[in-house]
Amino acid sequence: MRYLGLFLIFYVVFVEAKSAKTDHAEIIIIGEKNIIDKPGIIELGYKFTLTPGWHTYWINPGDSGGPPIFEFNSPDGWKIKNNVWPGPQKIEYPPLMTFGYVDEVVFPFQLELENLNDQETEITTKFLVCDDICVPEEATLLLKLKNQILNIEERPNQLQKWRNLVPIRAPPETLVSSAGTSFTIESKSISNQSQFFPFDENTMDFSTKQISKNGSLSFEVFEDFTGTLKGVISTDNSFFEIEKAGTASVDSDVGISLLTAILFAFIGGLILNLMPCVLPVIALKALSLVKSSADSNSSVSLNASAYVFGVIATFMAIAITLVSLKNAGELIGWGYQLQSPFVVTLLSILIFAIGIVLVTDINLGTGLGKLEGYINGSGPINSFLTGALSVIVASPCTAPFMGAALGFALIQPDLYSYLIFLSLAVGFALPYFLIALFPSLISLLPKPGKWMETLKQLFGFMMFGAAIWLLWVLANQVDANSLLLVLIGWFLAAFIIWLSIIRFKYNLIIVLLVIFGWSYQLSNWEFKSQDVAEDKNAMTWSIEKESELQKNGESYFINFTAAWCITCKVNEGVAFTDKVFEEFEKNNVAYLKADWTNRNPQIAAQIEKYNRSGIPLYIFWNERLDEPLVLNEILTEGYIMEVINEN
Amino acid sequence: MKIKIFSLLLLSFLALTSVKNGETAPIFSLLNQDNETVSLDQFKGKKIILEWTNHDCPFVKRHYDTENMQNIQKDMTDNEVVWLSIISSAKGKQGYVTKDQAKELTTKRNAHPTHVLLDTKGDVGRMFSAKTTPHMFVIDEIGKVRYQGAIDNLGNTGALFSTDLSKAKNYVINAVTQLVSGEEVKDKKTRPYGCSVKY
Repeated sequence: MRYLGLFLIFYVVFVEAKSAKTDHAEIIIIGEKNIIDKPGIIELGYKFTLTPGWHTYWINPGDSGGPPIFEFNSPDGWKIKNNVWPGPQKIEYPPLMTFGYVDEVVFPFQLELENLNDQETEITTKFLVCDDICVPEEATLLLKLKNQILNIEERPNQLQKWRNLVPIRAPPETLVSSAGTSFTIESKSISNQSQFFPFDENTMDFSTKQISKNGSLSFEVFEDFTGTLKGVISTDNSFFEIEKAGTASVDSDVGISLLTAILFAFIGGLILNLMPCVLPVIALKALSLVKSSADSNSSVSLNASAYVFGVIATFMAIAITLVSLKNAGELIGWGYQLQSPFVVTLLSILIFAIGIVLVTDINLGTGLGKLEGYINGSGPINSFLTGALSVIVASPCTAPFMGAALGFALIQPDLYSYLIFLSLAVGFALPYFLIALFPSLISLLPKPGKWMETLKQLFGFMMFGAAIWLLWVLANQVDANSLLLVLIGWFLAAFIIWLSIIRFKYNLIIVLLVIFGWSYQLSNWEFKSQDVAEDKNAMTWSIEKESELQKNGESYFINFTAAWCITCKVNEGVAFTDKVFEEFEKNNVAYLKADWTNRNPQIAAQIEKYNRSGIPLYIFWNERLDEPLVLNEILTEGYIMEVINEN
Repeated sequence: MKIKIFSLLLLSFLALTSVKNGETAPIFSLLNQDNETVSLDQFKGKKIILEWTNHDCPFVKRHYDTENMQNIQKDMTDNEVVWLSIISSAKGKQGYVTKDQAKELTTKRNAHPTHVLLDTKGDVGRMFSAKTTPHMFVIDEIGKVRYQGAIDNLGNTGALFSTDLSKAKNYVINAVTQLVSGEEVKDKKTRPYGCSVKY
């Protein structure tokens, strides 16, 4: 009896320890280090060591079996998070297919400590461990913090190894397409060993043959499969997650959608010529071509070709920058450049200065004043630079109007991105391209005369309009002091142009001094982000807020917007009426606003989750929907009402 | 490449062999616990439930230990529904029983199948693509398959540790009830859960 007592004490000590042993498994909690010196999130993992050759299951076990269950209560000051699931391996029992882990597995999870007080809790795990036969087992672990020491096993490398096997977001160039019941997933990281593991049991026959080669993986789903293709894909040494809505009817052949994108980019580029910030610049180029048409046709042809070349080179330079940023893992979307107050400032000054030059109709012959010379000049180098200039000046206009299309371009494989950008550039340069090919076309334009000067001045005012719009974008990004600096920049630009007009002797020196001094100020003056203007109807979006609403089963509507996104602003003006807000209130729909005027990785990541890279983006969710609903990009009052009432 | 095409053909052929809802169930005959031949077509005019089973599988055990399976069996057979428990475990594999052991199990567990059928070769299991134990099929009076899949919606690990199995949504009971009242069976096909059939 005494011995039994002793045994019991040992037994209790054993239970108090961090590990538990069952017939076919030993379970311990592992972590990075067991000395905890500050509150916060601690990375941990449940480590299962199974009888050799035996296995347990992934979250979707496949044809038989079941995933482990972890039961716990978070005591005061602790928040134990649910575990995550490392990518599984195939465990075949023909004709059955199961997904799980053989010999050992670590399920990573997080413990969030609000303080370092002594605390403890029990975690019970119920799991199946199988070989040819299955055994259900159950174990209880004690997780205990005492004197800032957590009773876990220090196995940082092992934990890291399994954390690396937890599926990550799909690489940006991943492409999912479907035709009938067959799906194809393309990604650089897919190897000929890759496998797709569906999350949902109603997706496909788990033992269906998957054809993988380097770069692509294809398989068949059930005939009646609808909804979202969700699962993970194994790569050489990790896993990534995919989530792709729709069936064959939504996505057709990749080639066709690429062609469509190229066509739209081309048309978009052509339309871009008419944008208020671009039209003046290129119209002037046209006028200078008219002037030079007095020269030979070959000179017109040469100039037009140089211009076309300038446009394409600049567009491609931008494309290369964006693609390499994307590949470096930056979360970017089109409109990205307008998230930098510096870029917006410089653009606004440039456009303002072009406006002055046009309105005053001066011919700047010396010093800095080559600006108009570049625009009006007739040498091929000038034409090339005009091409570059018009692309740069066009960029604030492309953002709002071309955002969606270019956003699509950026989530494609690199080559496709380049093709789409190239098509945009060719569309943009098309009029000049035609002139280069058929110089005689220039004679169709009106003869030069007084009207050219008047038109030029009118264009000048269009430039002021564009500059004001950029200033408004900036007003949403920076505080009043910084805005003042920008206005001083405008002032100095005007002053320098005036100095050139009066042909001031030391013009060049003053120009250099002013540029130096102003840039110095610019680098010193912080562009403080001001709080985004309050909207009385809206709450500020955050991922935490969203998941909290979802957890409580409360409906919500998210508006991803930015000051520089004109489509967003139009939608807000047209569709978000008082009636809509009343409807929101009536249906208890929380209205969340995610403002992307300034860079925000959380918002960028969320947008990418919906396979978008640009805005506008509108999301609606309520309890009856499995997945948040992505709305059209163009909203009307009626459409929003319909969405709220019919879901 | 040739092998690939061949294996695809083979796979599609295998897929064709599974039974489809609304189509006539393949007719088979097997020996029961009393060494009598039982054929599916002798039950024309009655509803039939097929239960793939393996008494050592933890999922099956769970359903019998809680008396959940026996209650459903009793309820069904009392209402003129034929209940066939089929064992497709190969000799030497988990769940394999002789006819005497089958009888003993029925008595011991107080089960109420109409017959326990021994499919040691696994032919009938493969004919129906039985994947798990339990895996259920409901066949109507004219021999058409009306339901196939899991016994209930507990699925996977849930069934092993859930305390009250009778509270789950039971697909088999629902299908039979809907057939009796002349309605369309709502859930016609679900993914079965449990242990793999030990062919």
